[in-house]
Amino acid sequence: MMTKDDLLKLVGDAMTKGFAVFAPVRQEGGLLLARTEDPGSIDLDHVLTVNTLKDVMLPRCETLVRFDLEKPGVTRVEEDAGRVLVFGSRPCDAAGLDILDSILIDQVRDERYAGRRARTVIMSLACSIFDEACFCASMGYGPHDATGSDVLVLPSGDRYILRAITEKGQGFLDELGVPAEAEAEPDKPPELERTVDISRIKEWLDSNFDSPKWKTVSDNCVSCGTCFYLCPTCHCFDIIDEAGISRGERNRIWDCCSFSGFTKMAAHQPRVGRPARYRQRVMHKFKYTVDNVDKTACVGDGRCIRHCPYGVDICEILNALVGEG
Amino acid sequence: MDEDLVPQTVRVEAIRQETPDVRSLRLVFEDPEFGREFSFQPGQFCLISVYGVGEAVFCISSPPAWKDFIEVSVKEAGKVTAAIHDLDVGDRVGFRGPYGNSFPYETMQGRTIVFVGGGIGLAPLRPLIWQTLSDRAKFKDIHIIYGARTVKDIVYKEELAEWQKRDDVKLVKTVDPGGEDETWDGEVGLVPSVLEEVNPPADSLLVTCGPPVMIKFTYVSANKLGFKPSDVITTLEMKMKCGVGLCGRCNIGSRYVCTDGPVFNFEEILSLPDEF
Repeated sequence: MMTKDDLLKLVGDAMTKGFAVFAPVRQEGGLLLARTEDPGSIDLDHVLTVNTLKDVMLPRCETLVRFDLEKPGVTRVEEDAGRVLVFGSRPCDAAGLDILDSILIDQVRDERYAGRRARTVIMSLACSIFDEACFCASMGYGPHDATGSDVLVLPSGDRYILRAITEKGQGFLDELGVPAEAEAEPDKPPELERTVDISRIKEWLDSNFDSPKWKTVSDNCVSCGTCFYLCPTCHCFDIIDEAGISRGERNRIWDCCSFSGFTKMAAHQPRVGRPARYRQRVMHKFKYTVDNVDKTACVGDGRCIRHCPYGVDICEILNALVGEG
Repeated sequence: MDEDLVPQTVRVEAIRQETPDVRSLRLVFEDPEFGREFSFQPGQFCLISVYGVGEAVFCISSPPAWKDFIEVSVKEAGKVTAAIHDLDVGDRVGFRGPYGNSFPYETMQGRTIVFVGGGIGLAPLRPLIWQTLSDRAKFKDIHIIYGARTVKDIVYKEELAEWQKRDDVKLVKTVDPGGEDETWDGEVGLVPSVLEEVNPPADSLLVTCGPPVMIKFTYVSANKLGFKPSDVITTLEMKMKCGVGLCGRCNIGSRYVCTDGPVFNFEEILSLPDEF
């Protein structure tokens, strides 16, 4: 059992051992999962950071190659291959990585993502608090779920239990000299207020690509992409060149299926209109990913509900799709 | 498969102006070892990049048997294709590939093959046509139906003439009504109607590519002629960025055109939503 101070000291020790640490810290823009070199800056009394673990594993913008327009060829941009510790992210975010692993490692191996995953230890903090947007339990996870974590930190009164989930997690605890001890009883996970029944949604989506409901459920969406940027599992990207007169770079940047240019080609646009784009988003999460990797691409973290400027609520939409009328 | 999205360098060895807005580029790998090891199958595609402008997807339009180089045929339509049209012989561009599945060459053998191409859509069929002709004895009849908007828009003119001369190929070429000129010796009419006039036997295998609307109506005509959906094969194009199933852009329903395609038969296509 550890106190909060013990935990933060452990994080400090990891820094000393060379881990780059990402943890919840208050910054302009709110509570963010961000790089920190000061364990004292870490905030553990929160429901969720605004951003997700995907910010660490799939950067918003990463340079693939640099080129000199005067010379042939390109230079592959290598990134720092040092070890990373993510501390204090939530179980829903770790579950998001488990889904991304299926898509970005198990099918085709995205070398950069796979490399980052291999050298990163995910030390999740199980939830004792939640808010009205949280619905992880309905998605098959839960406030104390271990999916995707290497180490799970479970609250037990005013102390914490450290549970190694993977070999990598055990290796990390061993390296940091955390003694194995008889495990105490963690607190009971909280019962969430919000629930959604997704048992019928896949079947409905299988046969309702052309439903008129897509128009009504997408009425309030303004295609701003906020839900995409804050989703732990959305991973679509664009590849764009940026160049000056003689030099430039090729960047991989996040891109969103809600944007009208997403599928637009010079002479053809196969997906026209906001309802069709919104349908793609729901289909991708609740049908296509299930078809392809047998997982639903939603972890119930609720960020898309909390942060949508127009109050679009995915749970209400799922209910409306399968409901009468 | 490991993918790092880093391109190889290829050099433009020759440029052929096919039509006012289509050019074919002959490309040679800068790294000779990569060039020697490089292999692909008809139907596969690649990404060509002009550094500083971007990458775009093209089918490899030369057959695998043409060693030491590959060709792509590029219609000027947007930003990257315009930059490709500005290239000169000797310029270097990026190349990634080959990606995607290929035409089911083994299962095509022993049958009558009907190639139906429209405009630049002949490009992905061209390597398959050449491969089929090099194995001519393995096939029954070979029909080629090719249409373009106007006489000026016909690609691979010399090769079409060469195929037309062969007595083991039945070639019909057509232009859309109004696209003919005084020199035109082919048909006048839309590709799907010409297909119906040619009326190939319904147990043939039909391989088609062209603009999306032509592909859809070619299927309607093939269906009318009694073709089974699984005997009508096409190759699709969608906007792609990665080419390898990561970037989430080219899906039709659950299927990704880059990794599950680009070659599909209509039995597969009819099971997908109409979003291509």
